[in-house]
Amino acid sequence: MNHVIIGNSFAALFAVEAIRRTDQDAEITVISREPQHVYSRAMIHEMLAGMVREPMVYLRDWDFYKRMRVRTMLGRTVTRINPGLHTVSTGEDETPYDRLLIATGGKPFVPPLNGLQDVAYHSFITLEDAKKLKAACEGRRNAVVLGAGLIGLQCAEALRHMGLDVAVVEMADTVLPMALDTESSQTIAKELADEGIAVHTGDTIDLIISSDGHPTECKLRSGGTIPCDLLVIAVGVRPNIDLAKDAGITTDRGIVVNEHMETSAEHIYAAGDCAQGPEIVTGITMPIPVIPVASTQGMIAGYNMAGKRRRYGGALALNAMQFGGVQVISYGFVKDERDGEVLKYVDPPRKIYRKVIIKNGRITGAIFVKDVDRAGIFRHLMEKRIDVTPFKEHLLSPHFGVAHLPAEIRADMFTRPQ
Amino acid sequence: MKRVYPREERCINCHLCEVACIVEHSETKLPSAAYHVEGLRFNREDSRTICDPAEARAAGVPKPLNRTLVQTAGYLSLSTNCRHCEEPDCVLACKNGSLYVAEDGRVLVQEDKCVGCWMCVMACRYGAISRNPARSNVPAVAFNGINHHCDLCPERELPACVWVCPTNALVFEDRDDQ
Repeated sequence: MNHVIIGNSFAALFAVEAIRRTDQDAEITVISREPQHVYSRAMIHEMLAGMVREPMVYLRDWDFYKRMRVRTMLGRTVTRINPGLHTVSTGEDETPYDRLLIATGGKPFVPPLNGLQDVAYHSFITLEDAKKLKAACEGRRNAVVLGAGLIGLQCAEALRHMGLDVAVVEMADTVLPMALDTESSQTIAKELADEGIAVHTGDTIDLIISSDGHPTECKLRSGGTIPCDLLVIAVGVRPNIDLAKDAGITTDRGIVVNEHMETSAEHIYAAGDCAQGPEIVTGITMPIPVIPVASTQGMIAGYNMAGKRRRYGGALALNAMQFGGVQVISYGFVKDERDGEVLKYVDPPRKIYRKVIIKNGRITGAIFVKDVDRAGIFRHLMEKRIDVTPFKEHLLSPHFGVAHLPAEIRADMFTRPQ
Repeated sequence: MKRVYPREERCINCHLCEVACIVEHSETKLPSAAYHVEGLRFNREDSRTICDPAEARAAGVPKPLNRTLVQTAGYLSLSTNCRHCEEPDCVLACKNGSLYVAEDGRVLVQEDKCVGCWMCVMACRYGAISRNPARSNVPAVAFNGINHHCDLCPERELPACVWVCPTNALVFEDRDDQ
């Protein structure tokens, strides 16, 4: 069996491992636009700030692809998928496949801004972006980051760590508007302020003023003007679906996949940030661009490609992040409290905050700030759709743990191999 | 593969498993030294050993951390630790590939690579991963640490928690075929 994978991040990596575990003789080819060894895009801000050594951003040892007997075509861009011919083209040549995995991830969304066409600006998605930004920081003093999502804030924190004055401009009324609820985002906003990062929420850039192709100032919609000699656009990332769409594969916001990670085209699979698969709380399909979902989808796709039938129970949106001295872990839909019972535990002096939203006995969203130990139990409760009504008064206790779960659930978790 | 399984009907909430775990993972393997000398070594900034408990408290030096945790609810108690899952959620979530499944099936962490992002804490449905603040690979971050979880005591035939348990409330068994 001849497997071809487009992409070289989490989904691709775990697909490779699943295929090789299942089939020792399979041929595997990984084609990626990026020339680097398999690395983590979630490490580039630490890399930019010089907080970690470069080897720490790579996900596997240097000999990984050799050990896995993978043919790599790195630094090569796939220009077309030909489902009828069972090939992918890179322009120069055609690569045949029996099974194809599209794991093309996301691409930055750049909004139309007055004056943007005249200046050099940065995205912050890839290792290459981080290296370019690092080189461009030389001699700069005033960085402006547009977008207070996870990528924007991580970039802002890294730039601040490097000694630049940093301003973040966000259209929504809070930082991390997609990931956090009001209370937790206020805590994060305070951490950012304490680090010396200026955050302008409910605002946007109306005009970028430049000279000789370099930004000098940004005029904000609210009327103010902020100095800017380094501009990062981190408004958001969209699923990278172009190849699939051009090949006639069904797409929506992402490449639509079923619970086996199969697309609408025979023998073509998709996984990771580019894919739109079933979500577990709602039961509908949506892109969930987080690492554990990408890795798990990649693994499931890999097994199915290699002939071992595996079903994916559905993705749960989950994330872990930290800004300043505050860690946050979230599961599901933490802002949607409609028709739900909301349980909260708040300890402002210690910055501790926990919230659980319950609908029809099931948890639909949970968020933990600062005190995050054993939060993962909530993932289990959500993914297994466990009715928490019998023990809900314990959920937010600092001592909540597996001892509070019904005996049969605990037995299932702790008396047999997992 | 042999794994540690708790038997909650036998557990008496004595926490000896936690003590044995800390001692086993110490250098001297002596309880008093493990807690009062080694436990005070704070290698985040200057690798120096603080021998005075008062100074250690003032410096915010953490207690040595156990890798198995007794969880309780009323009369019920059980000691819980890493399940060494076949397809570990923590490995799937680890943001820089520090966590891995070893040849022998154990789930281990590369202690010199982990950056303390806590994706593993988020991912582990058994709540079996703790944050060890005594060590950090990203010293620039004010509060950080590394992944800390059961390694099944590589130097022992029987993991220390199982060995020490006075009521056999922890067993080390291969239940893969059950």
